[in-house]
Amino acid sequence: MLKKLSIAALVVFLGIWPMFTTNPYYVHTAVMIGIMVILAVGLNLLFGYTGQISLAHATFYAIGAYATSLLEVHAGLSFWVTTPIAIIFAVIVAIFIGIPTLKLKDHYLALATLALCLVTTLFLLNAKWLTNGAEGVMGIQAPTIFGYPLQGVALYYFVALFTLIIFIMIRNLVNSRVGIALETIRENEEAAESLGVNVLYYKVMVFAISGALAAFAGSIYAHLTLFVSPESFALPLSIEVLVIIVVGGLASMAGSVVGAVVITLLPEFLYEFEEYRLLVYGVILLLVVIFAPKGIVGLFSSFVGFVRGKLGGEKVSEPEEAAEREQV
Amino acid sequence: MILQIIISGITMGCIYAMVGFGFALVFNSSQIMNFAQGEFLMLGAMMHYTGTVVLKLPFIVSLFLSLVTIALVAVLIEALAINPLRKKGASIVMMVCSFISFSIIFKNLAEVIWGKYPLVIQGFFSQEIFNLGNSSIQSQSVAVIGAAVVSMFLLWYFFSKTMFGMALVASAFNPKMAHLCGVNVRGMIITSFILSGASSALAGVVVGPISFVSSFIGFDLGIKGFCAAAIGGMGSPVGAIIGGLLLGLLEAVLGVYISTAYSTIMAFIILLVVLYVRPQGILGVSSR
Repeated sequence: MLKKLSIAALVVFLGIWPMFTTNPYYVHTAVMIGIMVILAVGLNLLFGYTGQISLAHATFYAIGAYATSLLEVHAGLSFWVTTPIAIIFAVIVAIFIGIPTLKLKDHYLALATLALCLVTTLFLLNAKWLTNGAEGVMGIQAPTIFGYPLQGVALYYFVALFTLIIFIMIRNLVNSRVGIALETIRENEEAAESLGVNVLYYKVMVFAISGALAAFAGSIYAHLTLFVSPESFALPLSIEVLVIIVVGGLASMAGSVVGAVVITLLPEFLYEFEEYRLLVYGVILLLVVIFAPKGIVGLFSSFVGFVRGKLGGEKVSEPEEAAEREQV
Repeated sequence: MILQIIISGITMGCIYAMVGFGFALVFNSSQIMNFAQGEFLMLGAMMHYTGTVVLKLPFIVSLFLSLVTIALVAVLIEALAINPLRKKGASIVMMVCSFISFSIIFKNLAEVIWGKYPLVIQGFFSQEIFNLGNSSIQSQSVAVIGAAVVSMFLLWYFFSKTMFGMALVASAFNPKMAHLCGVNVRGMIITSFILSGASSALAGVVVGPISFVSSFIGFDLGIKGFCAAAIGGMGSPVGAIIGGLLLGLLEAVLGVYISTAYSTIMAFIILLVVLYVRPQGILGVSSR
């Protein structure tokens, strides 16, 4: 009950807060958080739930951003046509790359996806005939909906709506039989295989879903900034999304959101320490990995458990307990 | 001309080999891929800059200081992150994450301490270039190849002729068995971290005069070191040397005849092909 109320309150808050601000920077940051949530949900599905580390998330983000903006600038297609094309393209690339790559495990997978990420950046920088190299692609138009440009607050509502839809879809996926299969793959691949789970099929499927989500996020990013250049899609982006899900909480839907909010807002609070920003990221990631491997969400739920234990023997109502379990 | 290309290829190959070797050493003893290996190289070069340029120490003293410092940094990583994580039974990916965070920390710390701009450090020889036939050769190449050969020889001697080195090989081969035979496995892991830190720092000191020194070189050269180790066979030090030399030569040849940008892409594509076709590498034996 309490949980449902707080979710409703959160949704209402997210719906009305832009009416009380005139600062476009806040709206911009809110859209960035939405983009990061979409990226993090995708990577958490792949890494948190299925246990497959990937540093190639930036590759699919780049596919989304570059495919939409190049098709718009050169072929004059609209956002509503190019985004589905980019997502389908990302899925095809994910399947082709995923089949050989996801046969690798742990370190080898990290190394292979790292190499893919670096190849992507080098390609974007050097294939000037296509991507215009380091200068990037300019002249992207803001998408229109019923003749009204999707910019500022309108873009915010669009992103908020789709972030919510994606969140619910992926939450339903991980709570389904498929989710159980994915967690079995993470815990023990041989056991999953012997229980009749087609391991490679599920891994590639999850890789394709996370790639599609990243491509969608990339398309939004291109239409937020109306400019794309290679450095936005390089290794630091992959690492940032990884930091988000580890800090927020692996294999936790709430973790993706909490991590995205914390890590995206952190630079705003570290504004005076601009040059130490990445250093602080590194230290936070290290501390979380060593002391709180379940992330902020894990810390929070063990804190709740601790408080309940202190209160002693108080009977917890059934639905709330179920909700708690669902969250963890 | 051909000789010049080959020598510059072998020079970079030796650097990759030294990084890859340090990488293989840690992987061998603890089954962990040290994604911060390249940063050891960068820190080694930076420390050498501080030693020779800022503190005006003699070359040898500064070199020694740099190797010791980086070896200590490596031990620090083991004590702060790897040992606690091993004790907790954390998954390998969490260790990978801890190395990634160390790599971010070192790179940015170096930027804070030494600045963003490339620094120049002095080579071992005073004369920069000498001529051999009709090709001119960087004298620093000789220092790089010499350092690689000497360090490889010392490590070979250590591993195959000393009791301690053999214990290290044993504990890498089968930690449980070695533990039963009275080998201190944790001590062996620490030793491998020390050796890998020192060999990467040495690579940094000798590559510094060729490539300049900035906080970025750790990542660039580290990733090539990984390629070398993975191509040659993860966990096989000899494989890392062969992989490094192959990679260096290939890059030099492609860089001259095609373009440097595409030679870097080729390095990664070769890495991917090796991982896909033969994940254990050319000389590797372990399963993936």
